[in-house]
Amino acid sequence: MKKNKIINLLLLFSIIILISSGCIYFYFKNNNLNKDIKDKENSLITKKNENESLKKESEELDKKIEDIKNNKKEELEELEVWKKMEEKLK
Amino acid sequence: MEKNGRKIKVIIIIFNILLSIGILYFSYNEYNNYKNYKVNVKSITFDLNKIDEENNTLKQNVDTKKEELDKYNDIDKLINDEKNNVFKLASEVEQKIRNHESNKKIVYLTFDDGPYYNTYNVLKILKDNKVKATFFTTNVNGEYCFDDSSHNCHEVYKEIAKAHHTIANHTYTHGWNKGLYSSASSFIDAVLKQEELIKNYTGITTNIVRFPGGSSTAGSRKSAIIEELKKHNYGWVDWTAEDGDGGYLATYNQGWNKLVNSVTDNIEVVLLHDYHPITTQILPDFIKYLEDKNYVILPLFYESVMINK
Repeated sequence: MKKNKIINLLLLFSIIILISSGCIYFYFKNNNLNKDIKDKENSLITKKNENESLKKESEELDKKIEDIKNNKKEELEELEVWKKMEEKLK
Repeated sequence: MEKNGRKIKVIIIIFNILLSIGILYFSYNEYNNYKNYKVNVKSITFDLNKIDEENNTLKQNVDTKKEELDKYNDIDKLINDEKNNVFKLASEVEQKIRNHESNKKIVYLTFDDGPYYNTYNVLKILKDNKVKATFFTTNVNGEYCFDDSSHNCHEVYKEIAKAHHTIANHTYTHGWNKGLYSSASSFIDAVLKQEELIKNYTGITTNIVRFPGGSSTAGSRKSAIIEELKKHNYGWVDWTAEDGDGGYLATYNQGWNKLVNSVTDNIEVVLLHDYHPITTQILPDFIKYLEDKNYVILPLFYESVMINK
């Protein structure tokens, strides 16, 4: 009887230790994942900012190109004339 | 004692059960968190990749636009580069035409004795038809336009240069019957004086000369003059076709017939005068005629086979 009790107790402790190990494993794993998520979130914020500034820069460049196209319309037409001449010679 | 022992056993068992339940609950929670974190990591990684891709495309676009902007900022250089490309290619095509290796056709429209006030009309026609020509300029008419003395014709030089036509040298005096051909030095002096005038008004240095009246007018002085021109790095050119507006040209048909009948070769240099009203009338139709005949209309350039050096 006493032997059985000891076996039962050992079994119970083993189960507790097993579950505790799993628990500790997931706890540390989660800590790492949490850190990873935070890093990735920071990186995402940085990249979103970069994305915004790139979009802004792209829009500004579009505007500048448009302005130049309007201001230098004659020169651009001139360039086209020479390009057409080159095409005809090819 | 036995009762106490049992109590302790029950307490231990209950404690164990509660502990197990607690640990199980905690484990379940951690496992659930783990699953959520995994989903979050996957989702953020997806977002990161997506924004990375978008940023790369944007960076490429920005770089392309910057290059485009740089080009536009230096549009004059771009035009000059393109002009040089055209002249280089034209030079190769001319050689092939001469060697019967190409069926391309090239024509050079040249206008002598200007600038005149009517040159503005000629420039407009050329602009409307997107065509470049060559202006052999002289100062024989002086500062004010010969055909409209209320206007300063030296300003026309700037317009010719601005429109990227070739400005060439037809001597300062054009005095073919007033001592221009009396010696090589009198000729070259008139060329250099005109050169100075052109440079003052346009900043351009010319390197192509046309003899007033044509090279044969120089008579026995021709070879000495050509030697002088060579010394000063000038090329020279006569013409192969004309509408006759340098002489007596009375009607459109007279000019048109002479012009069309003289354009027969694969490389032609056409002589016109930018003061003549009939030439101004003929010009748009003649450009169309040449284009229909597949001629490429070009301004003269020093490396052309038509320029004698």
